[in-house]
Amino acid sequence: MLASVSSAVLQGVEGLPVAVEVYIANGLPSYNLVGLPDNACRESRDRVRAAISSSGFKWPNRKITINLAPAGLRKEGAALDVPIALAVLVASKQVPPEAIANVGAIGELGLDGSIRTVPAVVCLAGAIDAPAVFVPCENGRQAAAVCDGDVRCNETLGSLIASLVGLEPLAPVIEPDGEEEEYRDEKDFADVLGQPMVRWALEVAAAGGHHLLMVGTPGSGKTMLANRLVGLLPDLDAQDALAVTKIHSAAGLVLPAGGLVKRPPFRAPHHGVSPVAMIGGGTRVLRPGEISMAHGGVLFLDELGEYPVKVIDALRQPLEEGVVRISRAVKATTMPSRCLLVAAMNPCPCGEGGATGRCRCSDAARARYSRRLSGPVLDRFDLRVEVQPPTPELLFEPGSGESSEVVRVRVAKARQKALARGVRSNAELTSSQLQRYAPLTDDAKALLRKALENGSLTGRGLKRVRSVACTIADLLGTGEMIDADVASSALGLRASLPSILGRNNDEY
Amino acid sequence: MNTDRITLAALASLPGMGPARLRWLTAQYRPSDALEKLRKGSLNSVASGKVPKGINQKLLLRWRNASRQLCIESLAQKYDECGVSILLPQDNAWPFHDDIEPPSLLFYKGAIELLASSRKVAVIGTRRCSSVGRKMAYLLGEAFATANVTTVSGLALGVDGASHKGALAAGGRVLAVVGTGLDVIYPKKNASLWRDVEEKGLLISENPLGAKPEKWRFPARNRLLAGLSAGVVVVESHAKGGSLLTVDEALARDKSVMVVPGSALNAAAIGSNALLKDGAVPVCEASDVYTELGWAMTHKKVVPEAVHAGTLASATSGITRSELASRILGEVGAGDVHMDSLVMSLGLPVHMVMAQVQQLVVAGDLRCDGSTLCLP
Repeated sequence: MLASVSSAVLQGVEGLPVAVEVYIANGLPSYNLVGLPDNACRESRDRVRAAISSSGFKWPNRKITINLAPAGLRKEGAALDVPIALAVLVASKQVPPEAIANVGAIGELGLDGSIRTVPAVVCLAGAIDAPAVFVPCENGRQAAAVCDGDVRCNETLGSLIASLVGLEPLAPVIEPDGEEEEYRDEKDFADVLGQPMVRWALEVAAAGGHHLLMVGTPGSGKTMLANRLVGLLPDLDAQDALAVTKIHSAAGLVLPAGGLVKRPPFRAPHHGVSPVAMIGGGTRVLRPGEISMAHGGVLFLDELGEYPVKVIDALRQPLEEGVVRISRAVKATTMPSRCLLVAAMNPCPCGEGGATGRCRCSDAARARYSRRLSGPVLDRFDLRVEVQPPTPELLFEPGSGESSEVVRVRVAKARQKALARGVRSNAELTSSQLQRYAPLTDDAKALLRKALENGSLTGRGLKRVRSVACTIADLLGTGEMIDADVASSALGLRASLPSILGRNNDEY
Repeated sequence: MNTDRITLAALASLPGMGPARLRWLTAQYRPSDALEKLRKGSLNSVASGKVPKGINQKLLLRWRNASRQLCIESLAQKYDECGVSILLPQDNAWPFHDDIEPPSLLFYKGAIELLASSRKVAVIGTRRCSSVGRKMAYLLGEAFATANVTTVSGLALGVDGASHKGALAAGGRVLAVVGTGLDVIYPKKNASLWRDVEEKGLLISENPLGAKPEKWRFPARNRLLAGLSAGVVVVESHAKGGSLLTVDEALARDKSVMVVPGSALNAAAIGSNALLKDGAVPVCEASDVYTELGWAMTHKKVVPEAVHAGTLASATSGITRSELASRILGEVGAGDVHMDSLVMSLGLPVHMVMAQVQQLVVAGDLRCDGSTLCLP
């Protein structure tokens, strides 16, 4: 007899629906799993058999054929254990077919019949098109957040079947959690002591989605500042929250108890990261990379000068397009990667940045260090600031600056203005949009022309400065026209890099 | 350009032709005769005078072959095109009349009248200098510029280039003696400085166009540096290095040798400190140089110009633009200041201060290095 249960498998960060079909015929006892299963999937046979037995049912000693449709797609992992077990039981006539009509299931089986969690449940559950979806208990909330149908959870295969055939009441429908996610892990902006310049740069970065580069001596607080940036960002909107939750689920990250990731993520990969780990990929399963895990949030690269050149250059296209396209011989996928890039680096290998008498680096070492960043990469940073350590007096004072909450309100307002222009953040504004939404006054034009003439600004830099100016105008509420004050304020946030990095090289 | 000059330049461009060999050649013959004899191969290697090292039949054969390839007319055209002139000992501007190893000719580009000035000081030092060394060289260049002293240096990386940058930044006179042909920019990194010197100062070399940066040319260049200047200031030198060779040349010519003291722990100052131990004159500021050379100087104080006034009052704080600008310039005038400190000491919103600062930077009244502000 034939039975079919719907389920899903993972491809990149998206689930793909899969139908698990079981056909039991007379013949010598055998178990054939077809449809390109990988090892974990093929081993389901032993788990399913033990689980069925220990749940009080009988393993059909006949010729069993299991097809995972579509047959051409590789199936990975143990998430198909539960649907296989259900279909086997129906095909062997131990459970009536009506019980599994319109039912989807995901889960790994233990030998004792318990249903265990599997990675990427969020992506899988979202792909199942069934009025009722059964998922492992740990993932109920998360699945409920993305699933159109009712999500139910059962601890064991036995209780799942009992509820399906009506012996037990159905497990309650899991409701998506509407609670606000707490800001508990986020550090407060008020902890920043002094440093008004970089505070301002962080606020502008958060408001306009402008990539930020901080250059400063060790101990100037670059990492501490970057940690606080994510607290300035507004909550993710529904669409982003879903995308981020899926990515995090696919990547096997811990999801919040409420199910959906509502706060922007903060990812800080170590500089030993490989290009694949940064961008995503892998030979068998295409995993999302760090840049996708930071989607909607902040990707922080500490010690930018230490990252392999290949890794940094690989970031260019995903940052520009907001998606990563990964192609391997057998599969290809697209993963979102729209994140705010924040990087920190020392001014030179020893960190003292050519400070008179303290820097121990030779010219050649400094030149080598600054050469690691290709021009196109540096160009991605709209905001570049030199961070100076807080003065000793400030270190003993309690933080007196604005808290994250206060700044977040301003940032959210600025972001709304950007949304009204049809972009998510001002960093995405095109030249023609800038012309339309943020025209320059004559004074501002004269100022920028002068900066262009004396070489402190390039043509490419001009557009970036204009979009930063637009963000500043949004934050200050100075209205549509960009005047000379706003334009020069934006200019000041784009410190020319050669002067930061190779200070004594070029100045003396 | 007259034929004698260009013929001499042609002789100088023969392979293996250094200053001593050229001097030996020109001591015996007029340039055109020398060229003719070389072409015929009739030059006698033991003709007369003290024969420099390495003149033998093999070299004469090479010279014969190379001289037959020379085309005086096209060479003259090349020099014209490059804008490079040739100076000979009979010229008024010739600076090496009583040198012990004078060059036979000089190639130059730029303001030749700089050679006439007697107030020329060479600032030399290692290419691998420390940041303090670089800064010192820069400051010396600046100080010389304001005192109308010509800064002489070799356009190398490190100390040499820094002193020129300082002098040029202060609008002073610079004289560079280079070890390559005037069309071979070396080191490449100093290309823009090289062009600045060409435009605003004087670039000289005893090497013909096309001369590559071969090792032997640099000690020879160092003797010209020493010979041209009234004194030599060593900013930093490693235990061994070209600067020490220049010092030897200066001593051989009875020129003052002055040294900027360095830290005993600074590897880049071991050689220069050793000179101090041997009795060189310590230099901590430019006036030490003037005292040693016996030059009377009146110091010209640099006073920051008045701030251009604006009239618009900014809305939030009630402070006018010109007030803000003058307060900013006042803070920066007291010493380099980071944006953070400036914002905190002014007690105004950061965007407002930054706006004003950038306007001052764009107008050229301030200089912004990263986020550190200083007077231009």
